Amino acid sequence: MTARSPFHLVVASATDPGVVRRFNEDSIATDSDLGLLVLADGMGGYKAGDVASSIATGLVTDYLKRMLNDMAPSPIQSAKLSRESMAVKLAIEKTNLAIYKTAQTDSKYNGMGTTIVLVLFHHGLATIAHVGDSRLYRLRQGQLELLTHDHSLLQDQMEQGLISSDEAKLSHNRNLVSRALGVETTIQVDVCEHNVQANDIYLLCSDGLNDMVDDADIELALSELRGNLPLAASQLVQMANDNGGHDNVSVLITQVSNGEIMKRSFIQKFFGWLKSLG
Amino acid sequence: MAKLIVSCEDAIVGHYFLDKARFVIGRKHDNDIALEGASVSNIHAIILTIGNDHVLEDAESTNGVSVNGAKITRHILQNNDVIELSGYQVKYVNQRAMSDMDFDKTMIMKSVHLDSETEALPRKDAMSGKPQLATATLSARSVKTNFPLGGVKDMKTTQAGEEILISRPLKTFGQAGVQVIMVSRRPQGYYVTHVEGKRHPRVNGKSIGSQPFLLRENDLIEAEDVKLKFFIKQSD
Repeated sequence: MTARSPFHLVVASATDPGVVRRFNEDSIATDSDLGLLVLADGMGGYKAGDVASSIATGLVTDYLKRMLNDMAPSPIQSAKLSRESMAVKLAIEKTNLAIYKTAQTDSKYNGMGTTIVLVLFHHGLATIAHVGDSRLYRLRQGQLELLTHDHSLLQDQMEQGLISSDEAKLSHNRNLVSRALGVETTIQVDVCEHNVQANDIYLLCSDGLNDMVDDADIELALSELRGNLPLAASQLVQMANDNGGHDNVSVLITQVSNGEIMKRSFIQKFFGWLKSLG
Repeated sequence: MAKLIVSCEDAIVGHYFLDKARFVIGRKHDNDIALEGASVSNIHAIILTIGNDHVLEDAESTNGVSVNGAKITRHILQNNDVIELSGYQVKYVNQRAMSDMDFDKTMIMKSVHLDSETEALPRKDAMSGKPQLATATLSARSVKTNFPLGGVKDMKTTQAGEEILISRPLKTFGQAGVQVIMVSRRPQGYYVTHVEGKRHPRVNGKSIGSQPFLLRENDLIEAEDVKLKFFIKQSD
């Protein structure tokens, strides 16, 4: 159980440079006390993308830790973003500015940037925030659902009806992100809140996964391997690489379970074990 | 930079670079490519540059536009496409526009701002109602392999011998929470892997531990209630 959430989280992750690239510019971070998972996909310059993404995951975690620790858990008011969600938004905005300043002050970091996607569990809610084309999927009762919207030229074109999804497969714009951290002094962050149910599985990934593996196959791997999350994570990375592995691929998976039930079953197991000794 | 090679009756009549956001082909003299001939419309076709894409549009011409033999109204150009209009062939050459994955590094796009609306606080329902983008490309859809299709024969049930083909990347067998194994399909063959349960699966009577095990034809896989024989489907 986390400090602010009645749910217990099991977390697994895997990251790989892929088959083609030499460097891995993806970064991931988790803080189980906060109930926070972060993933970033960096870009630009010789190894600068790696710098941008690791600043992003590290700083956002630090900022949020400080902000949330200063904030007493307060009840949720409907029709308004929770204080936790506002803190998430602010933390990403501050992180954006920090990466921007680093990029400006050192010429070898000029032009670097990074995507970010994160989820924070609190009050039975999941606050989901993202910038760029890294994604968050939720598996609920066997159904995979994408809860983020890529900030990419291709997605923007589709939303405006300029391009059909059949045409999109012929487009060469899938690698153009329309928003990224570190590029300008301000950033527009998409933040939303979703109710959490026990047994939900949340998957954060870089585009190296969803560019190479169909949603249907992601759903298959997550639901079939839910009993072994580390295997699910490495299986997803392996599927991306088996399909060509053109990009860095990172996955961060968490399964939510009801904290109380977990505790009880542990106690039952413990007493069962004691009995077995007697 | 992308290039257009214009020819007429097998003779090349001009080379052009696609160096403008809006590139116009037609009979008018001030067009970017001016083509003679009564059947060419004044403004016949337009090529728009959108990000990395060059999008060809028929500008409501009288005689139409084809790409590689098929009539189009709008088409995202691919390397070596041949555009045909009123007796002219225009070849599109752009090494970066290969349909078979051009995985350039992810780039930040600064100049293109398609949306002008100022967005207020992101709405909770901001995600609903928008079309979702399926990004996995066609070439990424199937496991890239010539390895023959395989499957397992159920040796346990009463109707023993039931054959289960495994055409997707993986399939699990067993009972969740008790004992589960995975058979996965990879470019180099089929593997069996332990997923959960107290004991590791056995192949031909030997425990395989926690690592993936490459299956050979007629291998016998056993785990708790699961008993399967691996086979390779002979192609007809």
